[in-house]
Amino acid sequence: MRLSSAPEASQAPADENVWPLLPAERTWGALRLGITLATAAAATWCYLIGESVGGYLDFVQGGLALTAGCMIGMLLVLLAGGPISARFGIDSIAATKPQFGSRGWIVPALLQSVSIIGWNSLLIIFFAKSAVQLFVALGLMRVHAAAPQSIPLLTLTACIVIFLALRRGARGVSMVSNILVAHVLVGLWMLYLLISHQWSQLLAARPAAASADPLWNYTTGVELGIVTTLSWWPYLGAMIRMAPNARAIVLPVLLGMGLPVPLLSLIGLAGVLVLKSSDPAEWLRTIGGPSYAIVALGFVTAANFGTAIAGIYASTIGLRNFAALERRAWPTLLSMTLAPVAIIGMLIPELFFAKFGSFLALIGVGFAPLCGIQIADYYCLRRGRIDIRAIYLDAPGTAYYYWKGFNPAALAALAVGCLTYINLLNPLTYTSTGAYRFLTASLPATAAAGAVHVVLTRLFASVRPRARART
Amino acid sequence: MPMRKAFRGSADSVMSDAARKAASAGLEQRLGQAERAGRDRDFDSVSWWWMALLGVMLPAALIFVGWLYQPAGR
Repeated sequence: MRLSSAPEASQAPADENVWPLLPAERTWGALRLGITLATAAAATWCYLIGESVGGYLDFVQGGLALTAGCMIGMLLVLLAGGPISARFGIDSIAATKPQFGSRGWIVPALLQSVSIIGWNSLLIIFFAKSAVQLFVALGLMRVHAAAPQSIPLLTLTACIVIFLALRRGARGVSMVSNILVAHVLVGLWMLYLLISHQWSQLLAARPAAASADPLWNYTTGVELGIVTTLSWWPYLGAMIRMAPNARAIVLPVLLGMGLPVPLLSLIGLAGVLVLKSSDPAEWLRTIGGPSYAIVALGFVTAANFGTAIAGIYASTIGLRNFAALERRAWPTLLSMTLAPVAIIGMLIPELFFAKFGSFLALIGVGFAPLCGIQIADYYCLRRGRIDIRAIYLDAPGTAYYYWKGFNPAALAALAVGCLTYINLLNPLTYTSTGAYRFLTASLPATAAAGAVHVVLTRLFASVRPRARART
Repeated sequence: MPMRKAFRGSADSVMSDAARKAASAGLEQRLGQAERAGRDRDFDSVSWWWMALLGVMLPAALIFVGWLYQPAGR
């Protein structure tokens, strides 16, 4: 038995591999972490989330339900991945080895990769579309030239810029975030404009697709908030490992990542309720003319870019967990993460845009049970005791080897959690059953997965986490 | 056989033992430090208080207020 290692990995900067960061390398304070997380969280999906909620709830109820849901979801993500990543300076995927096993981490790694690469492909395509609109609005491009060939070109350009920014690893993420965080303030200004100009219409506006059951509508607003912030699970570990300890991440995560999403989603919520459009460029043109529309387009462009940078960084770090990739050069790994995004954006942007959103919604179902398993494992089974050395070992007899490297209890719990979610709420059609209107779907899925993980682990000695925990 | 070794395949053969030992020593040093430092780096009571406030009490209050809210004309 030996520790996993590779010479090239040891020579790479610490923030570009999956080894635990040393205390001296974990230099991000609360403000820096909060800025980075806020920049990562704010993107085009805020309008889409707001638009979805606006279908069921009015502005006040929608805003309150969405904010409540986002804070609940953020707390679950923080409790799930936060302690292990922040205590030992490791990424989200390495932090799943105690629950899923020294080989079972491949399951959350696949969830992470598909989710991040899928969402970032969408964001980069959004970015390219917004940039085309911005260039047209600024007079830099003629309308007929803004044809489909502009989007592949801009997608490729965006990928190259992301590659160049991330060549500096986590420093690149932080540097870009320090610049792009301004878009969060622009977003809040846009929200102020909409509220101050349209307040009376906002209060009077009614949702277009509301169900006859007010409780179902309200629960759905909360559920949309929870599931939105649960989808930050793949992003979080790579960022919070840069902070010195778990105490330093609580406020940046809850306020920096949890709060901007519902606040900026209010833009989409307000837009769809009053002007029947969640696109801020469209309704800002209505309020303030073309110059306001240009500001909005600049905001959308910047927002997607910041999120894509954080996502690509987290996904690239996640790739380091594969032994075959452990000793590859950082630029090679970056290229591997960016290549699918670039290919999709250049070859099939419209097809991907139209078809892949549903698949991503389905993938997102996995994060609630994943959080439930991690929370139950850390707080109920291990009571905070983690063998950091065993995370980097893969051989029979080691603490997280379980059954051929996989923990059947965690895998069964993940399956039960996903089935619980889908049984309560179909994420594609939003048809629901049973207790959904009282409980949401994410919370029962989290609880079911956690309970199954604990029960199976305690029932079967073969999957019981070993008591060799060191810290 | 460790899975990592299996994944590496033939590329392993070109790595010198000295290089691998140096890398293992680097990781070993990091694990030792992480092991020691990780003991007192978990959430403290103030962290739990903030989590309870922002992740439980605030959402509960927002849900309650939102449910009580009656828009004009309902």
